[in-house]
Amino acid sequence: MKKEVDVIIIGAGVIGSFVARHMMKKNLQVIVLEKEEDICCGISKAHTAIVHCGYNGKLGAEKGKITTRANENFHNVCEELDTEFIRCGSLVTAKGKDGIDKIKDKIKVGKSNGVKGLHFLNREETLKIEPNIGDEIIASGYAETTGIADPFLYCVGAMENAVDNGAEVYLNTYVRDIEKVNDKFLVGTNNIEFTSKHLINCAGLYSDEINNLIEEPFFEIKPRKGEYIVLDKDKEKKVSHVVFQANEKDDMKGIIIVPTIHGNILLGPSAEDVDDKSDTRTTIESLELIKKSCKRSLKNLNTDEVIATFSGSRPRPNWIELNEQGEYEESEDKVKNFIIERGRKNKHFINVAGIKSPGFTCADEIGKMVSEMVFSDYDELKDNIDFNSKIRKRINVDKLSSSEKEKVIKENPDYGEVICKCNKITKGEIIDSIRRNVGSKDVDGVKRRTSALMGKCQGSRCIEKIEKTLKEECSNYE
Amino acid sequence: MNNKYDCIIIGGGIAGVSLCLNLLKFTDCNIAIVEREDRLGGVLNQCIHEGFGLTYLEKNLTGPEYLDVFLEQLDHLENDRLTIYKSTEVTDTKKTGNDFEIQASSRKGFIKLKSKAIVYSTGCTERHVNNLLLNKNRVKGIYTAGQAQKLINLDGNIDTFKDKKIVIVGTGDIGMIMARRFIIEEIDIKCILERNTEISGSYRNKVECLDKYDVKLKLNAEFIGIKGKKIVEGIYILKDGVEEFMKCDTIVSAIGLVPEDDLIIDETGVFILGNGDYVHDVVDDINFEADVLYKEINQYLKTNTYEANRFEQNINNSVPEVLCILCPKSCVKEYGCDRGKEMSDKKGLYSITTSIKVLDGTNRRLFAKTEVPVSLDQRDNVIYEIKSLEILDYVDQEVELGLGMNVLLKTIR
Repeated sequence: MKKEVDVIIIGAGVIGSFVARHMMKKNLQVIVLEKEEDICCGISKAHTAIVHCGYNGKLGAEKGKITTRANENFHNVCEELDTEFIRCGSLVTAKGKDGIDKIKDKIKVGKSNGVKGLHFLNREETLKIEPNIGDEIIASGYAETTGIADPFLYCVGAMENAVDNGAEVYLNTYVRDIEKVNDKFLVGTNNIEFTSKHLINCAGLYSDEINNLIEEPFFEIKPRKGEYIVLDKDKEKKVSHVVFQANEKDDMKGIIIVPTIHGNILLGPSAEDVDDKSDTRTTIESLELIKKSCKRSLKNLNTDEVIATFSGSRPRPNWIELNEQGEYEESEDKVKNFIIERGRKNKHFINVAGIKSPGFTCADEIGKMVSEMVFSDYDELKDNIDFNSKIRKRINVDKLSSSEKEKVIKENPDYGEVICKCNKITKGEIIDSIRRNVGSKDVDGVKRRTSALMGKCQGSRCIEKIEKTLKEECSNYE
Repeated sequence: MNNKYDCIIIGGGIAGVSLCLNLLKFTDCNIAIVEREDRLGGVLNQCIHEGFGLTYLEKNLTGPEYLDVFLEQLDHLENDRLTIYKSTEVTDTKKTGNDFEIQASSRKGFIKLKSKAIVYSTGCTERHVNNLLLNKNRVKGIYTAGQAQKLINLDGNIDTFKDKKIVIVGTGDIGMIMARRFIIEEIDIKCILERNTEISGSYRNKVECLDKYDVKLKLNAEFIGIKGKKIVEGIYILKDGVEEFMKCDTIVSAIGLVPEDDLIIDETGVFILGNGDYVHDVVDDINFEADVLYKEINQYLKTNTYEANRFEQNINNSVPEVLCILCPKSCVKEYGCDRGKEMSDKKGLYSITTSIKVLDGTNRRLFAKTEVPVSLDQRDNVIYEIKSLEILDYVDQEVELGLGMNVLLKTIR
C-alpha cells in the first residue's frame, strides 16, 4: 500500500503540529508521521511552558527577533486554540555584580529586539512585586511580557486544528528510510509507504538521524536532560512571576521557578548532557540540587510538597564537519539560531531542527515560516477556502460560572460527574478529549489533554474510572 | 427545594455519619451530608479486616460491620431533618455574611447549598510514590495500598494483581494489612520495606499481618529507585548504606496519609472532624470526638459563640515488647482484661477475613469472616476452604466450612 500526498511532516511535537496547522491554509494534502502512540510526546510534553519575552540569545540573533514577534502574538494563537495563556511576567534574579551585568546585557538584547516592558529593579522594587524573593537577591530584570501557557493543549490544539482543516496524522509510524525518486520523496515506515513532493523534518531529538537518511550529515543533536519537580497547588500564592537566575558562578545553571497554568509550582530544569536520547530518568541527586537551588531564589518555598517529578531532553544542536580522517566531528562554530533551512541536495526537504528554548514560544512563528517556504515552491496555489483557524471550544467545568455550570450539566450530565478529585475534571471533559480529532487514546493522553491524574493523588483515586471511560469510548482500548 | 440547612457535613465517611447521628439524636438542627461516592461509609467499606470498635463499642469488628452499627441507626432515626446528597462532589465552599455557601456537582445537576455551620469530615489522601524524589522513569505498575484495597475488596478486581510479584513500600498500617490480604489471595509478596528502624504502623498489625503470615520485613531499607522504562521491573533499595536490587513488577505504597484539606476555609462556623483534621490511628477515636463536637456545633448554632474545636492528636507510640495485641491499649507486662487472656490461650489469629466471588455471572464479591478466631496451624486450611466455597446468591449468609467452623458472608452495603 502506498499513500501519495503533497507534504509529509515527520514528527508531531509542538513544531510539527504548528507546521501542519499553517500548511492547511493552502489547498495541500498534508500528513504527519509520529513514531509514538500519541502526539505531543518527546520534549513537547516535558518543558516549562514559559512564553519568553525575546531577550534570549546574542545581540542581533534571529532567534530573539522571532521570539519577540511570537510573544506579541501568543494570546491570539491561544484564543484560536482555546487554551489558557497568562502574561505573568518574569524576573531574572542577581546575587552579585556579575549577575547585574548579565541582566543589563539581557535588557539590551531585548530592547534591540523590540521587547516592551523591560525594567531593571533593585531589591526593594523586586520585593514589591515578588515578596518572597530570597535574601541573597540584590536586583532583578523584570520582563512584563513573559507568560505561561499549557504545554499540552497548545500543541494538541494546533494539531487538532490541522486535522480539522484536513491534515492526517499517522501515529505509531516511524520513518525507516527516505529515497528520492523522480522529484518525489519515497518514505518507508513500519506502517505503509508514503510519497510526497515536500518533506519536513520536525523530528526533534531525532532530526539529525532523519536528515542523514537523505542529506549529507551537517549537524548532530545531543540530548541535554532536564529534570523537574512539580509542587502541589500554590494556594497561598507564594510566587506570581517566572523566576530565573542570572546564571552567576554558583548558580545551578538555568533553574527556573514557574507558577504553572494549572496553579502548581514547577522547579527545574537541571542540565545534564547524556548519550541516550530516550533517557528520561529522574535522579535523586539532580532533584535534590534543584530543591536546594530554588530555596535560595524564593523563601517560604515548601519543597516537601512534591507531587511529581519528570524529565525531558532538549535537542542541543552542533554543526559537524568531516575531518582529515574522514570522520565527522563537532565544528568550532556554534549553532546560534534554530536550524530552519532547505536540504543542500534536495530543495524540497526542509530541516526544522535544533529547536531548543525558546522553541515552544516560537512554534507558531516557525510553523508560519516553514509553510511559507513550501508555498513559495508552487507557482499557483489555491487558498483552502474552508480553513478555520479556531478549534471547537473546550468546556472546562471548574472555570465556568454557576449559571454556566447549571446549563452544561443539564444538557449533558457527564459534565456533573467529577472523576479527577484533585483537579475537578469531569467525565464529560474526559469523553470530549477522547472524541476530538487526534483525541486521547490512553490514560496518558487523557492526562495531558485534561490535567486529570496530575494532582497530588497521581491518579490513585481515579485511574480505574478513566480506564473505564476509555473502554466505553474506544472499542479497541486494551 | 429549600437548600438551606443549619449544618452541612462534607464527607459521609464514619466521621460525617457519626456526627450526623449525634446531631439528629441530641439537637433539633437540619442537616445535609454531601458524599462524593455512591454510598456512605468512605474507606471503612473496603476495610474488611478486624480490629474496629475495640474501645468505642468494646467489640472486635470488621470495617463494614463497624459501619453497619451506625448506618443502621441512621436508617431508623427520623430523617425529615436530614438530606443526603450522594455521588455529589463539592467544588467550592465560601462564607458570605453569616452563611456558608457550598457549590457541588453531580449527574443530577449543579447545586448551591446554604448553611450556618459547616463540617469538613473529608478524610485523607494517600501519598503516592510519584510524590517521592527517586531514580526512575514514569512507569506503570505502581499502586497505593488503599487503591489496591479498593480494587480487591470493593471492585472485585483481583486479576489486576494475579501472578504479580509485589513489593510493598512503607509500613503504614494499610500496607501491612494489604500484605496479609495479598497473601490470603495467594499473591506473591516479595517483602515490605521500611526506611526507619521501626515500623510506622501499629505493633498489633506487625504481629497479625506480617509475623503470622511470614511476610519478609526489611527495616532500615530506603527506597531509592525503580528499574524499568515503561513498566516496573524491580526496585533499588539502600540497605545499611549498600545499594540492593530486587526484582518485582508491582509496587504498592503505604508511605503516609495527608488530610484532605483543599476545600477548608478559615472562618467562624467551620468545624473539622476525623482524618480531614489529622490522621487518626484508630477509627474509635473519631467516634469519641464526634460525641463531643456536636455539642460545640449546637452551641455555635444557638449562640453564635465559637470555641476552639481542634482535638489533641492521639499519638500512640508503638511499644516493641508489647504482650497483648487485642486492643490499642497494647498491654505490656500483664493482660489488662479477660479477653486478652482468652486470646493468648488459643495462641490464635484474629478471625480470617477475605472476600469471595459470587458465581452469579456478575463481578460481585461477598465479604467473608470466620465466626471464631483461627489458630495458626488451621490457617491455610481455612483459607483454602473459604476459597473453595461455591456461593450462588449475593445475600448475607452463614455457611459451614468442612472444619466444623462457620463463615459469615456479607454483602457490600
